[in-house]
Amino acid sequence: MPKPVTRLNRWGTTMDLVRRPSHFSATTSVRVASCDDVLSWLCLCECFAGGFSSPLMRAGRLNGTLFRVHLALLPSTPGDGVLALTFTSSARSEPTSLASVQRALDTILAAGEVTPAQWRSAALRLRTRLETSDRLPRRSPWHRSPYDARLADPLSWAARTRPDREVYQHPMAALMQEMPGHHADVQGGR
Amino acid sequence: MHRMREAAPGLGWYDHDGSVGAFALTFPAGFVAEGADRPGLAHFTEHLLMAPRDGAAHPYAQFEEQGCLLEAQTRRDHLTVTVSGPQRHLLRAAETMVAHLTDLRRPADAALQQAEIIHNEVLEKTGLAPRSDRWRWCIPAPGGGIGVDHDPVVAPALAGPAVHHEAWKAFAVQNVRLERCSAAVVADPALVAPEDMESVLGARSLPDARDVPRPDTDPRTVRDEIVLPVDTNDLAGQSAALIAAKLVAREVTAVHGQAVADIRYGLFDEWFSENAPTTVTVSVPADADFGALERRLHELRETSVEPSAMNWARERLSQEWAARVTSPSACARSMAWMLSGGRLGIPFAPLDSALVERSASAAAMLAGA
Repeated sequence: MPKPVTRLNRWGTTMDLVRRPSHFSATTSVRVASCDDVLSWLCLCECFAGGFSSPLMRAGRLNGTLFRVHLALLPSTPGDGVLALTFTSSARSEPTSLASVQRALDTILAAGEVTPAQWRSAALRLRTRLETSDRLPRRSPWHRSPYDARLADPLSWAARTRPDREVYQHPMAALMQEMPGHHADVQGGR
Repeated sequence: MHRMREAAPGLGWYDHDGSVGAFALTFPAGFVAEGADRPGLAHFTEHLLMAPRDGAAHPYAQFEEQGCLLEAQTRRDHLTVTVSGPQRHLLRAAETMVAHLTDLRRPADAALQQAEIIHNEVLEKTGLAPRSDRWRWCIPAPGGGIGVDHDPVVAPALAGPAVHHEAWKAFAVQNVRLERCSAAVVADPALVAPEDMESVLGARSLPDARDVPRPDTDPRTVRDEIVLPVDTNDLAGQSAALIAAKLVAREVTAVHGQAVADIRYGLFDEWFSENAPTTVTVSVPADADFGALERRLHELRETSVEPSAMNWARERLSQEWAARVTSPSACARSMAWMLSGGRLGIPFAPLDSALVERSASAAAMLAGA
């Protein structure tokens, strides 16, 4: 198997952005022009996929059999970022996993908005992740503004900033549209 | 400057005044404890132990509500649980974790579910090519073979069914015991009192590091590399091996001229985490001049190590070590591992040049498969 093309995700670990058998990856472009935009997406990623409190991880790991469902902000051209949804599944559990993640995306899109409790919880976890997760640099490794700017404390930032549904609805819908197009070939290593 | 210290028997402590702290619990329940005929049991047990208790994701929901994050990992010598989060919630988080670890009831379908999750974890972490993954070739097990004969993660994961669903509870009862765990906390003692943490964890008596299983070490390489055996459990011996490896890596870089040689400790490159015997390896670029490298290694083995060279290596490794334990979770985990092997302390200081020379003289070049 050729070496996959990888990029650093927001936690500093490599993430494959190229579709491979049994590895789902959907991406969409998002506007990222300021530190606020970076923090906003980091918080939204935490809110939607950052733990067992989030719909995508609940669908994948609590109710399903996925190890992780990643939702990450990656750098793109100046002023733009890439929002990437990825997960790896065996062929055996792939149909169930796809349907489960799809339902979670449906739930996110159908919800009126992120509640204050969900927003605060996401900010709390993001703060912990920024402070303590392994190999997560306080500054990004991308060396590209605004990603490598020193970010404000997520908790105080989230207290004065509300998530804007207009910001995330379209990108999440775009990720959703890529779901049925996923192909399932032979998984590696079998 | 703060130092890792043993605040109470079996309780490592690192003073930390940031808003976020961490604690780690390390149990002697790694691959070496699972037995040659049960590969995968330790990792499977980790998943079942950490599996959510119910549809409300207990205990993860409680942790996350307070901003805490939970990680668990199984290695050759141990199984470790790490919780990081706001310092004012750490004690409560420890209580929640203790309650979770001591109640082994899990949902009826948890075993099958976790078996498939492990399968997907292996596919993800090995880039969907698990059979080509390097570390699976050098997993030792007591009394058993290495590699394909005892592959503690990949083979059982790819086997599909939850092969250990009846065995994990007995393994947990025997090996994941609070009274035998090493604990480590990264926190401000004014916010998290060591005696309170002791009270939550209860009295503990760590296994004697001299009594830990000594696995057969017969690493099989799949690439060209230089191997330095680490035959001592203590911090001085393991530090000396890393210093010697750094000096060997410098020779490799000098011979090659371009590539900087990587040093790798044990199976997972987690410094001071493994009990002896283990190995430190130095990568060798495929296009290196092996003849020249052999000569440089021979000189290194035959001559005494210059104090300036040792200081050079010590300075760089100390910086790398500081970077490795910067985050509270990594610091807590490393501390717990060191404590469990009886090697808690300050690495690389002081250093015994005789130990470094002994390690350097044992360096051996192995050809790839």
